[in-house]
Amino acid sequence: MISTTILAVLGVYLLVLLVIGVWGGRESHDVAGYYVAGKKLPSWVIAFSSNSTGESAWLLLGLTGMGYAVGVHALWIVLGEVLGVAAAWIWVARPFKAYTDRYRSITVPDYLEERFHDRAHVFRIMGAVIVLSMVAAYTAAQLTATGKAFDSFLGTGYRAGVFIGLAVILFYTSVGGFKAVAYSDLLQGVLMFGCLFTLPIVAILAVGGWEPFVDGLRAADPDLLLPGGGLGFTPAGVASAAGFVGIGLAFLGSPQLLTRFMAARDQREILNAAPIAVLCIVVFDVGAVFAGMAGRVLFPRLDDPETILPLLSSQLFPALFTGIFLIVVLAAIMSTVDSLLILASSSVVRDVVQKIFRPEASQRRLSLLGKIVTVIIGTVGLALALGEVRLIFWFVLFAWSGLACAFTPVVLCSLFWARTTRAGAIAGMAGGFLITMVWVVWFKAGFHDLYEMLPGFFGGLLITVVVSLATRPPPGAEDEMRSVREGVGGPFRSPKEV
Amino acid sequence: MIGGLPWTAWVLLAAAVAPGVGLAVVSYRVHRADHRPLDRCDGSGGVEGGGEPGGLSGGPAQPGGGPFQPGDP
Repeated sequence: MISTTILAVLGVYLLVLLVIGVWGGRESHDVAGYYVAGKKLPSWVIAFSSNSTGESAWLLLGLTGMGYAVGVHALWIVLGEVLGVAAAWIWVARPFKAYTDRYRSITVPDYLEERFHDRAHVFRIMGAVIVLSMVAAYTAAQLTATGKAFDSFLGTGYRAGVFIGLAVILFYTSVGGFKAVAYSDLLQGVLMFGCLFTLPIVAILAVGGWEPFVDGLRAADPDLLLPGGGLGFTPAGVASAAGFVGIGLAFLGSPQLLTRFMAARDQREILNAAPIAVLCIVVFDVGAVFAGMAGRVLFPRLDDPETILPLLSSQLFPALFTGIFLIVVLAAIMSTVDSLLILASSSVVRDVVQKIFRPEASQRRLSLLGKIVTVIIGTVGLALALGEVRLIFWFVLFAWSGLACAFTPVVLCSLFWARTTRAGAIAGMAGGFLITMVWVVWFKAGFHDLYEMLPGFFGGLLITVVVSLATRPPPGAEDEMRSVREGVGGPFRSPKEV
Repeated sequence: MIGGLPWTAWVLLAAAVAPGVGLAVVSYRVHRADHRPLDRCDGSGGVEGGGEPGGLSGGPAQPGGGPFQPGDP
């Protein structure tokens, strides 16, 4: 029987999300309001929003499962993600914010089009195709996790769980726009932070303390204590560690994360948000890995390591906290899905409809269209999720790397290398995306399962550089970049407002 | 072995956590430098004071060498 306490906690959480949706709706009547909250968000919101968007159900179910399965070896993921998040906030966020304010951009293709004087709208069309295809897969994967979470915690059944989760997400995302998404991300991020700070401590104490924890891991499998894991310093071991570290590259240029930098109120908010975001990701990742490792000692014979978090929460905590852990899993899912839906909607409405076909359309009409498109894309994700798309984490990693490899190399080059040309950026965007797909389908198995982010990212970077060098340098880019740099200052300097 | 874990595991954990802690410390110093009164800084810090406001270059130029006290004029 379902605990009424758990139901009450869940009910309160869903109600708060609906209220945030209605509250955010007041600023979603024009395109900039609906897609970037009018660029007025404060540091705490953008910091938590970027992390809870970047971390999906994979953090709570997948990374805890990874800690359970491979132990200390999973810390390579922590290393990659912390480095990726830190580098993004230190080096990428402020120049990107300065450029996008200068161009009045509200999407990444907006920025790329202005930066490279792309009058043929190639970046918009390519961006929309890539975003829509990847977001559909990613959303479906997250909805699948929603159904599983509802079913495992409440016994609602898989399909009912998917419907309930999507209905709530669609309400607050379509009504409240980006402001509701960002503030709900803040709430969800705080919940995830609290859960992943508490869970490993309680779990290690439940084992009996640090020494029994380490002894228990050694008894289960001595390889759990080694950074190289069972593979050691072999080609497969190095490929595995490199792939784990490579996950963090996506934080440098994925469009759903760059949107947070754009939506900041000003440069100072970004400077203040940086330490919050990085400390937050440290707690998220270290907490998840150590919770999984403690779970291995407490419950050594699980068929599916990815069930360790629900198991720990139900066995170590009273019903109230079990309810909170349920909403934390849902929070991780919802905070990712809402951001992806807004991103996909902006690709259709801002990048294609407004900027290519209907520049004269009113702001109110475009905003309404954005809400309708959000619901349609969510419905497509629903159809895919109900079609037994059960390979959650394969899809998540695939979509995460596909989006990241299309945009990250090009965005980095555009921010830091004035010699980057329009042709180079277009080739790099297409190349990064295609290499990721091709690697997964044809090469991955033959290269010790090397994660596709690495060939996709570095391939995209190489193509961007080579094609740029082979084409005519863009006029004025050098002066513009110098001007942006002077306005932003160094990574740790106070910003001059630009 | 340190605390039952191999030293390599500790190195990996430290490498993973250090960027977060380092950035927090440096950002806090920049934040603090931003919020001190300009007339206490001889024009060498602050938002647009012409000098290094802190961070990697060794910290803000504080008259007297001590940290800014909130009650100071």
